Amino acid sequence: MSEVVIIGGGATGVAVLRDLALRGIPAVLVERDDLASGASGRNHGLLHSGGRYAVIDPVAAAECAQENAILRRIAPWAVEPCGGLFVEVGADDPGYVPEWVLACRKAGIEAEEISPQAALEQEPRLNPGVVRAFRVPDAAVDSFRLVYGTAAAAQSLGARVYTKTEVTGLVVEGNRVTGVRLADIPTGEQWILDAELVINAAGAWAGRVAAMAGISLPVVPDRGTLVVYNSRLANRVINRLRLPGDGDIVVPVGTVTIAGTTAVSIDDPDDTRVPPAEVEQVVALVAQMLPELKDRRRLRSFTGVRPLFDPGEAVDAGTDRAGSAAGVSSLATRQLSRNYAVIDHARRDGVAGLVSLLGGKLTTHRLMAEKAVNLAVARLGVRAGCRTATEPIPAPPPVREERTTAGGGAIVCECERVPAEDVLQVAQGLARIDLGVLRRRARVGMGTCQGAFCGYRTVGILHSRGLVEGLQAETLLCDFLRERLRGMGPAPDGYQLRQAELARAIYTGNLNLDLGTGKGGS
Amino acid sequence: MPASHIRRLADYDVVVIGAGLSGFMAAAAARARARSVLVIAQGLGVLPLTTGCVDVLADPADPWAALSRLVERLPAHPYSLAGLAAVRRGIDYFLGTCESYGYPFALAPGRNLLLPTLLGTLRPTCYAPTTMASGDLVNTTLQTAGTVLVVGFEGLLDFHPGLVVEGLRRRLPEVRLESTSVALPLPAENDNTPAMYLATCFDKPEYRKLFASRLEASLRGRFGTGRTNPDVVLLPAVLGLDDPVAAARDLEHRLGARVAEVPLLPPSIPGVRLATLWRRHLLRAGVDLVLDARVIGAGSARGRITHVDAQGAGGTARYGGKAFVLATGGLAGNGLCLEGSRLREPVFDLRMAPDVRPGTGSGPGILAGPDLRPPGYDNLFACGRILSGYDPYAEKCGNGVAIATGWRAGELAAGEAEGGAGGGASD
Repeated sequence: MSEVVIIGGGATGVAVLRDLALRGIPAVLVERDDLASGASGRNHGLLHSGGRYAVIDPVAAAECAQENAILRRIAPWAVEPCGGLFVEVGADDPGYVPEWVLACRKAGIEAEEISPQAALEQEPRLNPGVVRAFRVPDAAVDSFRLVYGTAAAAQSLGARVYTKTEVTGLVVEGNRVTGVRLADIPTGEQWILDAELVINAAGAWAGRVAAMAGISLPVVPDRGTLVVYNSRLANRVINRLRLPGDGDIVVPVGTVTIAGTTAVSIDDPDDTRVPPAEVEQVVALVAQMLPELKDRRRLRSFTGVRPLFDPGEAVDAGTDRAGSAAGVSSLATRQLSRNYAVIDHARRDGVAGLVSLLGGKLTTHRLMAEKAVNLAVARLGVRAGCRTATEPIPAPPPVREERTTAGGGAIVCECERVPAEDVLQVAQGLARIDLGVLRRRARVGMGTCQGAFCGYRTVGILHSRGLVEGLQAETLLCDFLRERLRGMGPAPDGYQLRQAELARAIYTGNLNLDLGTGKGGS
Repeated sequence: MPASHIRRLADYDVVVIGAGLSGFMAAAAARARARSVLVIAQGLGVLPLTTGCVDVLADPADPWAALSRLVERLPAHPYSLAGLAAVRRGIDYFLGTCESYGYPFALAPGRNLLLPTLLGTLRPTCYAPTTMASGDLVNTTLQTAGTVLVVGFEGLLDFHPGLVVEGLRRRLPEVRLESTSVALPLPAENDNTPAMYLATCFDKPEYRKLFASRLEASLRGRFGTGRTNPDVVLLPAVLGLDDPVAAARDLEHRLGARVAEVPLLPPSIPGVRLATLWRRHLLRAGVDLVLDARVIGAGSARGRITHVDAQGAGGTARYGGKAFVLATGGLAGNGLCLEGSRLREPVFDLRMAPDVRPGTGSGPGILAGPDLRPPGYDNLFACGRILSGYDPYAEKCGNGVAIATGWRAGELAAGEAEGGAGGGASD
């Protein structure tokens, strides 16, 4: 039997890979960039309690509640169980609250009301005008580590992962997809992978993959803009207690706080430009919940592209289970379903050997993968139950040993306290060194200096251990700094301007590198 | 506190706001004209962010010839506002003063020095402290014979000798390059070895002796028959704060090779040395310094600044002056701040300049006329990074512009305080 090929290395793709591996089905995952480089790594880092969806999408809400509990069990190392608050501030519709309380109860979400005073004691930066507050079991999640850990778990069971590998076409024989055409991006080398079944988990790019088999899929790339602050400005996740909208979630994750977001449908999912107006909009809105966010130090802003879909078009004979907001076909993307659909193209389009996953969100990615693999095993004629909800996922590197503070090893990044050991641990497991991967996995360059200090140290350490050669070190460093500078550009605050100035002073001024930063150049 | 309750502490001929390189130069220029001078500063300037060299312009051929052309071509460039003659006067004074404190600078006649960086790139600069100048590998006999040894310290993450060697090899293929790392006694409680700590170590002869012996041990046999020593040793720029020239000479003697420092990531020790040297010089010259004080307000009458109010640890005090110099720096030095989405000069609320050289990376700055006067006040002069119209990083002219415009602003302020026109020195 040949293998199942999964297209897309986001949370869903790796969860499908692990699910197949646990059921003993040979599987390969191909990803054109790095794992978690799409929406799975470009989000709030929020493990939803489900409260956000309780009123508008009760099925999604109940699924969030279940999956939240499952992820805490199977990947505790990726979850920061900080809890969450839903807060009603002045000007919010008080009529929404009783409806929300009832919906939470129905969805099985524990929402416990606390007094405004108690909320302010627990979250001193909250708007003092908070009217009502509810505690919910939200959590922060390191989505990078979750994705890497899930992939590594699958690999330890024999599954394979090819990153920097782009799908250039599908092999279609008659009315059946039998393989994928691939290109290794760094070398340009082309090859074909035979597939028993192809699972399209390409997120916002899923429409492009389906089009390679002549199939039209109603994917709506939907941009969300997020703003990163340099410290933890809340103890728990803060949600606005009203109908979901823009700028209504603030998540403390690791050493930073991520605030967002917006929802704007776009044409090109590769467009990661950050519109300054959206940054300003997010800051203004989240500051209604936490007024200090107006002036606190920002690190950068970024966008993620949600793979929304129009259930009105997706729901038909081929759909295993569509989003519960089915029937809504307005292009106002806030009204499109945040739920998901697993599409069997044999039934929907008469093309066998291809299954697509549409929509979805980080919190419920495991469940969506389970449904897709259930369909896959039925198609493959295999009997094997899903074990992903109970089998724990081992933590991926860098796994920090218990360290004593004295002589704890050199620190590459003082902002995030990243030891050189972590960088090396991750780098040694990579076939190809990529500072973006080191950043996502070891958090180098994530913090306040945005790579200005740790950038040089990282390439220096890699070079001294023979992991990169000199020219490569220089190229990696320049690319890394350009990318970091780009994220400081849109609607910067004073700190970002100063930080970017410092980076230019060091690298363009003192090291004479041409970073060609937007305005720069020599 | 209501303005009327602020105590007027003292009056000066010239009040300089800011204690970075341009503020130091302005104070020195005014003091050299026998004016009473006060420097008020919130911080200690951004000299430690620089390499501690004096860049004039990046032009690899002749930076001074390039400067003459630039002044013709770009009238809004800070160099042009200062005027070529003042640039020379300022730099001469800077170099002479540094030398008189035992910290001389060197140059390569008719061209820029090309000094190695911690990445193994080459960086053009016009004047470098002698502790760095031997790093200029371009015009030496090394191209035909000789070896450059790049030495790192184990545990110092901010300098990777192997990376330096590979970078230099690509740029200077004819030079023979080697690298090594030396283990030195380091503070065990520190995760990273701070350059500042190493610099204080290298102030001590016994530490230098230890370093030299460990280096020699690690090199034994490395340089083969007939040779035991490299010709040039490149080291992280941590050779002391007190007397780096003597420290370098001592090491040269011990190692039998020329020694050159390579500046590290900020805070750079050579930058710290300059800040210390100039603070000492101003105090010795009779300039008053009020540090850790922020100017929070100013008074003016008939288009002239009359006083500034400075808030420090002891409260708020008022300082009167006949002329004022604004040397508060750019974004990195906090001379400009962002209010909402608008950049602002917070002391006098001066007008920001339009971007006169779009697409060149010239940073934001205030508008200033040909005599460095921001519009609105007759007795105010601006200098250094707060000026617009240049890109210190790509053009390689940061410290050069700071010295030139600082010196010129000090001259003009001294002239203004005297009641005369111009700065006394004619251009």
